[in-house]
Amino acid sequence: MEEQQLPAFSWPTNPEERPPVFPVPWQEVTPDWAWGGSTGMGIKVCIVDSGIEADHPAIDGAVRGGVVVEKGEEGLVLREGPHGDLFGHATACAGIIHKIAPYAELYSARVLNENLKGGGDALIAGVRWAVENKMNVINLSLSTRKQEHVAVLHDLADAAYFQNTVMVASANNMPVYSYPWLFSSVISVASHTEQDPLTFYYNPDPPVEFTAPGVDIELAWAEKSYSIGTGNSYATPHIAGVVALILSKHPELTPFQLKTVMYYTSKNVREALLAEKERAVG
Amino acid sequence: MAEEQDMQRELEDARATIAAQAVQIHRLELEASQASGADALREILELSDVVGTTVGEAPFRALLEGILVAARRLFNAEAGSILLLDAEANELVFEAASGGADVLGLRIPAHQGIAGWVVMTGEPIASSDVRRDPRWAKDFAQSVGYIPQSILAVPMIVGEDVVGVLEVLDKHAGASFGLNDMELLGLFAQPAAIAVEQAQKVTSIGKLLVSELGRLAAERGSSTITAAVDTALAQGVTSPDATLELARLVHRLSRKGERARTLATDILIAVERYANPSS
Repeated sequence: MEEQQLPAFSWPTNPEERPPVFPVPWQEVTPDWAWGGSTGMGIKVCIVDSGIEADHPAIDGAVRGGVVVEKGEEGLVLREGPHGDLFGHATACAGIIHKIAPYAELYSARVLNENLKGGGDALIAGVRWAVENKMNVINLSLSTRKQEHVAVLHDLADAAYFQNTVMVASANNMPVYSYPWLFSSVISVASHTEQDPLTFYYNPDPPVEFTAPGVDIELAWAEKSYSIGTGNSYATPHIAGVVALILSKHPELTPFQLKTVMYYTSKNVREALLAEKERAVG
Repeated sequence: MAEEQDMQRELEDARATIAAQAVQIHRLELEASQASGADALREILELSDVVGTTVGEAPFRALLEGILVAARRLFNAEAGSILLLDAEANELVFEAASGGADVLGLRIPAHQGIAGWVVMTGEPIASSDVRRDPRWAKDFAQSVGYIPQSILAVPMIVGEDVVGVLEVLDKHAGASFGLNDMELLGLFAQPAAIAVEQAQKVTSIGKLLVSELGRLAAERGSSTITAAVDTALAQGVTSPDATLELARLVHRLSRKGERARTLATDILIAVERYANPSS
């Protein structure tokens, strides 16, 4: 009995107590296997950003909850409930995810406002809320440069990873060190210039692991408007959307299995495999 | 590529110089807090001269304008501006502007609109359809005098902090700003940020100088300190009048621009206070 109280790093010695494994049939992994027919149903996606405008027509009522991080008299305060978008950025990310995974449930953690001045501690509070509320996917099109936050954020990213919460994070658009996208426990995303929302590339030269559409993207924006924008911020929700589709169809996947599925379904790897197959036949 | 490497190296050198100066200023602050007033004052003045010569107020403004004009030309942009963060007032100040309306010196709230986003997140932003966002349209109509079609804004970063925003508006022939543009404008933002950092050092030396003078003035009545200050300020000077000598120093400072001139006035007032205890 006591053995079961131990954390996950203690593998049960009795084989009957061991958790089941779900083998992934690598030879069959194609985009169709990975997300064909999936709508994102049953998947909770939290967007940690400027707050989703829930009544924007492009969001179509997909927002199920959220939290606002505010500055209180003694540190940060979390207030759950509806809120708007202070800028448009979160609504843009939400719109992209909703387009790809229309049945995914969206949650909004607003961590930016005038008083917070974009402080890294608010970002951490938002991510912690998402992890504690057992989101399946966290979209983070933001990062912090503050060294003082690195350790805490790193622990949160690892906690997310171990509880099968997939954190998808934007690579900084400038050549600077910022976090959490530089952590190996998250999926780091940069941009490619194609438009197909389900086309992504595997990058064999990390820390960026995948690239998705991020140039001249049609975006939902604040006050029920629309815009066109460029940047890794908009590539990231494309990957978050794909992750929601895959997890909805294959909820048993752990983050490293998910990354491997994404590796096999990325455009450049599929093309390379196909070319190899043709060479072998020819 | 070679040019880029040279530029990177120069930026690194500039950073190292600034870091060394920061250490020196910190040491002087410590020293100034102790008793050796005259030595501290002399060192502060020497350092202010060195830093002031490197980047004074006038070259600072010219540098920012030069960077902006070069960026605007590179992108064939209709207009461009550099906004610096006034953290105390929580506002962004137009420090340089090219094309568009005359917005120099204009202040806008620091955490809204496109520039506000860049300040808050430290991330660049590119939009090629500004007009459809009612908030942006209003912001731009007020601050730039017209509503652009496209915009690219990048942060100016010193250490971990965003100190300002460099933005270019309306790329040539209605094209949108792409990822390469983002990276390229980011390169322009680096020397601009270093110029700001350097100017901040000049200001902090000035503050140090004034506070030290103030401290000494508060202790007036002690003839030993008056003598020490005389020695420090008027080293190798024939005139026995410390105030005149100080004025000379202040004049040297004032040639470095408006900020230094304000500082010089502050110094004069402080000195006047201790030279004429009755007034």
